Amino acid sequence: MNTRTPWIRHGLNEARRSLALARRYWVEAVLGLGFITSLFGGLVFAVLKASGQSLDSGQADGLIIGFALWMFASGLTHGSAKEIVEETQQRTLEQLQLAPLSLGQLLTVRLLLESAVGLILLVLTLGVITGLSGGRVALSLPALGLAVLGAPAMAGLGFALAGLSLLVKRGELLMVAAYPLVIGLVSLPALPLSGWSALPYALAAAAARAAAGGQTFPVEVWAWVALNSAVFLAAGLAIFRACLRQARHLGVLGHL
Amino acid sequence: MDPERLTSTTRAGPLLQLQQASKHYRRGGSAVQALQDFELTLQRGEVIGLLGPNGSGKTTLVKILTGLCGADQGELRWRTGPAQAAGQPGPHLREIGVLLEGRGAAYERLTTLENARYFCELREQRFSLDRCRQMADLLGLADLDTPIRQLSTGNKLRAALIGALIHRPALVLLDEPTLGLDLEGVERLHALVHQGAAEGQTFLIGSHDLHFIERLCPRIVCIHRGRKRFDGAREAFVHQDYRYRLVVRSEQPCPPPPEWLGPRDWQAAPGEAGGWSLPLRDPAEAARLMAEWASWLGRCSALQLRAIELREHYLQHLGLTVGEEAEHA
Repeated sequence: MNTRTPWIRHGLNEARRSLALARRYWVEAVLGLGFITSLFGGLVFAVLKASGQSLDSGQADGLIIGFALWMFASGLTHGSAKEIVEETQQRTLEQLQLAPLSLGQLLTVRLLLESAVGLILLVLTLGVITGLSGGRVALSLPALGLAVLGAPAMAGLGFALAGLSLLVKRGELLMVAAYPLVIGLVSLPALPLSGWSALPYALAAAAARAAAGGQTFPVEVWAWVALNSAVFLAAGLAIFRACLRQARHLGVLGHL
Repeated sequence: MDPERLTSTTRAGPLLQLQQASKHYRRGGSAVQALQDFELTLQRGEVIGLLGPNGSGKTTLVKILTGLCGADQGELRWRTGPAQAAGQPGPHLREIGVLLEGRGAAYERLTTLENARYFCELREQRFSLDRCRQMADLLGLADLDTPIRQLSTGNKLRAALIGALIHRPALVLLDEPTLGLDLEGVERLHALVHQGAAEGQTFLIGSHDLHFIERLCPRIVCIHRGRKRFDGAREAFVHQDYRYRLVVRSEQPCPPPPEWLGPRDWQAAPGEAGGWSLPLRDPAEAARLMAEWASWLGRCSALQLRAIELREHYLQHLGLTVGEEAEHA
């Protein structure tokens, strides 16, 4: 008799599928990662060159940490919408609808797996940054903790995007439009607490950047990050459900 | 589905009952009635052919049965469970396998085997490699370990069929399953459906391939403009008073039919501009008439004696002519 709970069963099923894809197309994945890192390296070099500074000056530290946070946050934001767009293109979205797990739950399972991979990448990236900066930027647990605590807010944004992708023909355009949005959210001066802090993930990213530089915060900052996460995750899920209901009503679920 | 569950819950009563289901869409500012007061009852082990021209509501019906499209009204009852709003998701969906609009739904970058395992586990059913290989053998798909993107169109459809049926669904909805299949593929699909029905699976098959439906489905449901036009045994559907049609083209007026033919008269031949046709019951009647009219028939500019096709009969059920069918297409 199978005693695994459905969540574990679905988690293993999704992990098996992701691993099969990653194993078969690992070259693509590595090249993609290398491309983004090179692009960012070029950007940092250009900024330093234009300002006449060197990497050792520490002027680009904030930018570099922001890049690591952006990679993590971007994965969370785009993960669900990317799944919807790809499933629609492959015509498999209808099959997912027949699963005992709802589409929202299934996306959550996939997002958790992707987040775990994203977190590993974040730790590795921060480790490399620590090495490159000669220890100025520390791989601190508070920084990681803030990045993770704020993650549900970006997941909520991702669910909202995924919901809208169910209703529009070109969901990939929504994803492209979200890239600058995530860059903006990660780089906003949301610390100390201000109006910017109410935006999704802005406070978490600002606090994580500061924590990586050795700064400490009162407990209220952590509380606000947690509240921000809870609010935007709930809002994102509500938008996703509403869009799914509307797509079902219109009969456009899975339409290209 | 688990054989145990099958035994304990499903022996008696219909598998599915859809009642008073209606659905309209808005297209270009106007309302289109895709389905109207549609009723359907499916019994366990039945194989039902769903016929209808393009835009008649077949796909909408399948989408409502699979919870992909919410109905404006109507109820759906699964086995002995409570009635629920038609077109809404529910636990019954795990017992449904579907192939929509003749397209293979599978992850192109995964192999057939990986797809089958994924979709089986997705429905929370234990994956059986033996069953997967058995289905592949039955469908004539030799290679289970090549990514689907590298397969031919027909084999992609075979792989998708395996993914859709690997979890032993109680109800299988196949929408245009023969699109892209060669003759051998169609025969193998035929065998797969027969085997599934023998094991208690119910099949609802929508197709424009009338001969496939006629051969495979003991029960036929005809749908046109969202309404059910026929629901009954294949024998009743294909029953024809007249099996042949004499079609002529002549510059001289057609002679009146002899009295022994009864109250029958010439009609404009469907699809034959300027042609006239006379329906005939059987070869004996045809031979007698042709012998009587041998002299006149010999002077006709064109002459055909042909069997009345199932398609013509189907159009008659729908109240359509050949021209109207082309307009629908």
